[in-house]
Amino acid sequence: MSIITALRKGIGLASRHWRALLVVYVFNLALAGAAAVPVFRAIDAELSHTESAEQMAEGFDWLWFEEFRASRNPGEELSVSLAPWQQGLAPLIVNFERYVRGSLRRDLPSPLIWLGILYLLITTFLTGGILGLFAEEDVRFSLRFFFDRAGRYFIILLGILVVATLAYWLLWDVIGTAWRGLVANVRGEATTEWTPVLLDWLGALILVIAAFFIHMVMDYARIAGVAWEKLGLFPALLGSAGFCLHNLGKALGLFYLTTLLAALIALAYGLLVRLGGGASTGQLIVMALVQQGFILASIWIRMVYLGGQLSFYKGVLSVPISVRNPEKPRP
Amino acid sequence: MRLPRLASPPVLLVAWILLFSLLTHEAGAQLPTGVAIPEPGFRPIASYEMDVRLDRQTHTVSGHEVLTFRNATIHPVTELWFHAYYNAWKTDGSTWLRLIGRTIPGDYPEERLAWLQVTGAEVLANMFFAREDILETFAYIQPDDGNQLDQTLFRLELPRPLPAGGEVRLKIDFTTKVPRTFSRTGYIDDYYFLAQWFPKIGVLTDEGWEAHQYFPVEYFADYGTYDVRLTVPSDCIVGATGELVGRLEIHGDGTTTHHFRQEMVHDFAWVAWPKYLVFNEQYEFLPGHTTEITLLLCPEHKKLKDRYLQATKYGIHYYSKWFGPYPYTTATIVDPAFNSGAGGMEYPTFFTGGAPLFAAPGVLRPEGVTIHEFGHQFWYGLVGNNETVDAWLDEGFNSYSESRVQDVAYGPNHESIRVFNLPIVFDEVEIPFKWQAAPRYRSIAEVVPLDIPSYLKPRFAYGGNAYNKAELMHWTLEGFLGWETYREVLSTFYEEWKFKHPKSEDFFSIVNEVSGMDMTWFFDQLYHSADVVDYAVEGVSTRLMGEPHGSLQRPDIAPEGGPEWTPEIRGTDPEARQIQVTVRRLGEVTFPVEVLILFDDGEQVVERWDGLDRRYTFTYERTSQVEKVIVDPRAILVLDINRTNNSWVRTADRRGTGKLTLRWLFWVQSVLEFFAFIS
Ligand SMILES: [Zn+2]
Repeated sequence: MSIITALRKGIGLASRHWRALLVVYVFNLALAGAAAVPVFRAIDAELSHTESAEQMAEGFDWLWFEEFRASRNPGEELSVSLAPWQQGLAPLIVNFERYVRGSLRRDLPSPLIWLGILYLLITTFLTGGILGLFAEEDVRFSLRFFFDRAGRYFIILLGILVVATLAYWLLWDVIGTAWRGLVANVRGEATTEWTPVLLDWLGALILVIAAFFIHMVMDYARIAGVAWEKLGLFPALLGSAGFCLHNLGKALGLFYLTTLLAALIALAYGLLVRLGGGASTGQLIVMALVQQGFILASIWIRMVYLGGQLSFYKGVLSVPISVRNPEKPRP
Repeated sequence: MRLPRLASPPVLLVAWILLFSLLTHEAGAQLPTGVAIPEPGFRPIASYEMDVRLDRQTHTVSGHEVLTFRNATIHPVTELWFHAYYNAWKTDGSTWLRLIGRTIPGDYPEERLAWLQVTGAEVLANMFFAREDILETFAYIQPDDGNQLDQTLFRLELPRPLPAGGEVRLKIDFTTKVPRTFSRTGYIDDYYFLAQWFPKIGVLTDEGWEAHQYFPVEYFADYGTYDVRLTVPSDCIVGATGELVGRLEIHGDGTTTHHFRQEMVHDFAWVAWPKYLVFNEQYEFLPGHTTEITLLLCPEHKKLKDRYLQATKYGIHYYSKWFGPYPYTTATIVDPAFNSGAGGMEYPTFFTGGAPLFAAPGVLRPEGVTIHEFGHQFWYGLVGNNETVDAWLDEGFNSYSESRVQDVAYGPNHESIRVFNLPIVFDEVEIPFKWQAAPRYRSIAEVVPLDIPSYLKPRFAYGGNAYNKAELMHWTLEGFLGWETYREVLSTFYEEWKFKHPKSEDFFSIVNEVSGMDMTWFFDQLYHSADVVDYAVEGVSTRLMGEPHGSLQRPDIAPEGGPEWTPEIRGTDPEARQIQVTVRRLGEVTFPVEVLILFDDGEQVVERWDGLDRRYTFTYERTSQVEKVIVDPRAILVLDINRTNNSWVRTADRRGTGKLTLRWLFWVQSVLEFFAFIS
């Protein structure tokens, strides 16, 4: 199967099961929305009845923001993480850098880390539902089916998550930390900034390629775990690793093609979000819609990764994947 | 400084040389170089002729200096005190190392260390002395803390007292071991930046020697002429205080001598690095006033050339226009090598900037640091306060002047972040220069008053105090007195104190004199105390006049002389309301403020409050409602530690709250998706 075909199938699956997408989105919005309530209240209390309110609506009141930040209690309040750079494409780029460097944990206030971990567990659960839907050729979405599959695959997906976490730990905390130390040493003796910058970029490139590779292997392990229901955790991981190595070029091609699609969506977001740049309530609504559209698209792209890879897996192994055919995978 | 100008020196210069030698008929007669605009009554106190050689193998600079020192005090003096700043990094336990909490060799390997060793000292013959060796009188002294491990100050004894007004010439041989960068001086690879590197005499006052051991603060020295011959490897590009004299002398041993000279300065620093790009430009900063700008630029910052030069020009132009013309013939900007630790520092006619590899337009770097360090030519270089004691007199004055130049020349700065080392600039987030120093000041506002000597201030509070609080004081004074008056205050201060050593009180008297107001109350509260300013709107209460209000009485807290409480006036108009607007003073500092009250029928009232009481209530009778109250509407009091509480608006405007919350929500949603990407 060509990677284009696999991607098209992935897009088809993700789009067909838009209801599943909505389920994931509801959790995303509910968690972030719940967190945003105290933030809204904190800002409202300090801003809405001051002369800064208008300036903040029409642009940005730097001094107000500095005072707000200084009055927050670090570590306790979510509003401490409000920042002037949370606009346009920048938050996505910042989050991407933190992902690449494995520094999400270091750079976020602890309530957000816990929220992230909670969402991670929830999406691990929901991924079971999504894969269950994708694996069945022509099943129609129902919440009952979705959550049934989510529950059924949760344990193995959780196991894969634990292994993935270990792999990421090795990558980010062991290799990443060592690289940072190297960059710091080189930086200390360099007479041109190019030296540490180039070295840092090289490190980031290695990290992102490795993180993507781990992600890809774990995806195929999830797919295998769902495809061959009775399969244990380690056979699923080994099978996935074997699959990836046997089909390295195409597997990577598919992964990066999907990543390219994700990047294009982010770029489109960057252009669209400018429409909501004005001060009116209407423009605020436009901004909110564009933002939520992008979040939906992010969830969709995660589903495209899964759908595309599942289709590719299926195509390569030429077996009808279904929970009704719980065979052992071929070596 | 100027760099090797091997190609055609200006015609004028050649003509000068010819004319000069014809007139004098002296072989080798020296062209006067490094002159300044003549200053009536100026007489040098400490002048140096130096001849030194840089050895890159041993990281040493060695040679000698001939110091001509004039006793400008009313007492004879027998003992001369000298700084040996480099010895702060020679031995464990030096006061400098103790104060920054570092040890040798625990924190620093051998090659990082430095020292300055005096190997010879003799008095040269003149009308007061016969030639005599005085090296055996050499002794380290520790007048500040008695720390015997500190060798940053030494003394030499003269064979007999030097009378008031008398002059002594000393020849001191010395060797300096250059460190691997401490406190903006040192080497990295083949880059050498030499500052505070030679035996430098302290300042003699009528009260005795004003010279402190090396604390992690800045410096103090007397004015004179520096005539320095630097012999360095021939591949070096050299920049230094002053002007290059004559041609380079190229020697057979692979070295070259660069000769620099500058009058009327109080320090000498230099840099030598083979990799520098050099740009020279004549700049007429005011009609009829020209100086030569030289930029020594790191190759990786080639594209910042114009930004550096333009910033320097803005600095020279505005400082000269506002305070007085820049008197020197050269201004040399050094873009320090990455990681050299030399960035952002001032020396006479010579200063360092600094920039990141990717310097975004809209973020004023290198501009800010360039203007700041140039600005020190005025506040430090020309007006030579004691930086060790009154750092606010240079740093505070200069931070304010620098911000003002940037404000006028560039407009507001912008928020930016770095992602993967690349800048992202947020044009929407403008950082007004007037308020720029506020966050850092507020974080240490109540720690120390400005009047504590700088070297005794807690290190964590030094910057917020000497730079930021002082800058905000200047902005406040400018707002209070008006720019034209305040500019006159500063130019008078400059005019009266250039080439001298003013103290804080000298500035205060000039403020009073020029403004025609006694501002002692201001300096008492803001210079002599660490009290803070915080005015706020407490609230607005409205009552229909028709309502019974038997409990109304003049509140105890109502201030003396405040508006009369008039409960008995009853509604001629049934819609008439009694409106009370209460403002508060939350900080200890009192300052007269304006209070703007805007009614919803468009009427606007500006009240003037002396700001003395803790609370003050303005009472109105209107049929309209108060829509907005702002304390200090013209934002004069930038020292106010909380501006948010200065305003109150009846009608909530939640667009800003909505915008910020939506942005935060989106960011968190995206964070969650990145977490999910791990699963
Ligand atoms: Zn400074």
